[in-house]
Amino acid sequence: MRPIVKGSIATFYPQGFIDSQNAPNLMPIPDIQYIMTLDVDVVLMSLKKVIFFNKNGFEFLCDVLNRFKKEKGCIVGFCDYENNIYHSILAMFPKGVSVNLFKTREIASLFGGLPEYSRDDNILVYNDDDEQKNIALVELHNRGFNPINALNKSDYLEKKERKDIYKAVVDLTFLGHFSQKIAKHVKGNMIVYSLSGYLDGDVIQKFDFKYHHNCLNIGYKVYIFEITRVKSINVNAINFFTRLAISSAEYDAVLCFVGVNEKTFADKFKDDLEDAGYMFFDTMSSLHGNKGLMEEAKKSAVALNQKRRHSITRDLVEKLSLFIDVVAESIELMTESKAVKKSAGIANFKVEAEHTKMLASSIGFYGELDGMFILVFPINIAKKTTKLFIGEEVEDEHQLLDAMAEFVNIMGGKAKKALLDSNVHVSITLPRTFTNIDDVFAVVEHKKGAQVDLSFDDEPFYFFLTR
Amino acid sequence: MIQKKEIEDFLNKIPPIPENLKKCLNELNSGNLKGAADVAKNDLALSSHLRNIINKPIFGLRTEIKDVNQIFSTLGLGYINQIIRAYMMKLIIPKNWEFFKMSQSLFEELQIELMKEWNKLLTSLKIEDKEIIASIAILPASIIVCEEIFKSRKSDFLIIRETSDIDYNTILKRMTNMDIFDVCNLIADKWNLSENTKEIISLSSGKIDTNTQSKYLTVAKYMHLLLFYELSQSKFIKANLNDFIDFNPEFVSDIFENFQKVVVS
Repeated sequence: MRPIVKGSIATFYPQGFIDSQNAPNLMPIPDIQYIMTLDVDVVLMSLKKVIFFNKNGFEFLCDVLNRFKKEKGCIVGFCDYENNIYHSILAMFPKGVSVNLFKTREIASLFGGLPEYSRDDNILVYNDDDEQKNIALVELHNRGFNPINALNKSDYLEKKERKDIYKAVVDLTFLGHFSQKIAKHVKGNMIVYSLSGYLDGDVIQKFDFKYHHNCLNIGYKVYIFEITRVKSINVNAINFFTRLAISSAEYDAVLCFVGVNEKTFADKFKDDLEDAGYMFFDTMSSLHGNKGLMEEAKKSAVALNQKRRHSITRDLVEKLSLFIDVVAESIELMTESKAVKKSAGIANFKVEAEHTKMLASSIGFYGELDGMFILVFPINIAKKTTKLFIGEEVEDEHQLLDAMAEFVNIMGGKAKKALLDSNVHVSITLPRTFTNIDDVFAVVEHKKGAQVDLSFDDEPFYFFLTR
Repeated sequence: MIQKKEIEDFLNKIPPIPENLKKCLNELNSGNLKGAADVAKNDLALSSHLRNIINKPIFGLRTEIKDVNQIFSTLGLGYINQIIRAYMMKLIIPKNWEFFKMSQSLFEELQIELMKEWNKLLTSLKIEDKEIIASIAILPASIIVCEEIFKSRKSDFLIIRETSDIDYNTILKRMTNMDIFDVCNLIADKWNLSENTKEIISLSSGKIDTNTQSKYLTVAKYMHLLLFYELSQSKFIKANLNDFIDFNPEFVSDIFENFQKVVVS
């Protein structure tokens, strides 16, 4: 059984009955190996279409999910269940479930991968078990969200109805052996790593080096290690931080500890880290009060903007025909029309058709090749291409945009597969949709790219490939 | 992506029911088991199929039965009706499976297991309606329809399935305004199967309006759940059948407990 991959979350959707006999076939070895090759942060098993499961079958799936946790550092768990199922699972495992339970896939995205909510959204958190509630509050805070504690059941019931204030409600969620990777998020052009507990040599396994190097490459200058909840740090962890400072130095990065107290470090360790270049702050507000540091953070923004202005590369242009084939073929299939090429060239993005009658979507890819492609559809073509995802052609713009995102995600998947066939490994981002074409221009301002103007049934269609 | 013409082409390739089979079904419809056995005796392929089926371990016979009359009397009217209809699937079963990892023998196993459990359920529900008993034999046609329609663009559909939670039934419906079960019913039309059989098959898709009223609604729920009970078996999961259409747990929630008592335990 293959999972459905959206962004960095892979979800399996078994159906019917699960027991110890059939569970090994729901995730056989080739599918486990396939997951190992994917660039995903979260692996989930949905119970949405499961009517029966027993303890042995469930445990088997937990074991496989835990392999992903161990070998890939993924966040793993079950999702899409009702209240009674959640409590049955907890009752089945009185000593604790070895994986996470997320009420929905969207809730899981708050704890790993690319969240389906904005960092500014208020997230209401409730759990009968105070310990679980506190873990969820801390994890969400560490990931840069704004979690709101529901004090008791009546507070929770009252607040969950206020959908205008609370964009997501984290309830019926169990975080078991949760923190594998050190939580990280971006705040004010700075990268914040949130650490807790006892830090020893295992910190090397928990630290996402790929993410850190990517941030250094992109141009982030300030890196904060938030250690308020760290109980103690041993010599192995100090060695790790020292080496990290040395490897980050060539990027002119500034590394800081926030939340330092006399119990966390022995003075000698603090001296060693200071020698390695770390700065120390008691609180985040004292860090924000450091003008020099804030200037460095601003440099990140400048560097990021410069990176964003990077134009198309030769490697990317060489793959242009591959992208065009994927896009044209997909739209031809969905609309039963023929693609006609009107013009092609390297230039700044230009849309000649009337902007108000167009919608746009983009999807990025990264890995051995970095870039993004933008598609600008006339509304009529968008409706035809999305019929598969919403059935009848609809007038509702939100539904249309959601379906367009699904369609572009499929094209991203096809492009990824086509690139893999030519030995280029990439991962794809979540698609983005635009109702206002001017917003697309804001994204690709000053960027040159490969633009191919096509038409389907005499309707104009624009493809733009850039970095 | 898929056009109605592809469905029409598939339907056009389906042969009509051979004369002998038609005669046999007519005799069974009028309740004449002996007459039906006499027709089957004169059809070498059919009689050999019946011998092959009845002597499978699932029927648990101690001694091999070769005589067609004996086969008919051992199985009885209900079972024979199912087996003859299941035999009709041989007219459309693919020689080479490309979309699913299936084989003719695995398909037959599914047919027999569905029939066996269906009969157990209907006995517990005290249902003796001939059409309800026989209808289960048509249900696996949905798998053949899916195989035939989707195999030509397998890789495209696999990408859709890996990026979007949308089953093949919905894909077909949205592309052609007909779902897999509608196509099964067109096959049933071609073979002159009854309107009641068609209604049961349509309802068993589990994709129905909450206000739908039909005297077959309850049996359709059992059929939907039974299909997914069978498709949850390892051998059918390996054949990629577990998620080719959507299972609707809500549709069957009120009959699940009884189903468990009769089938699962």
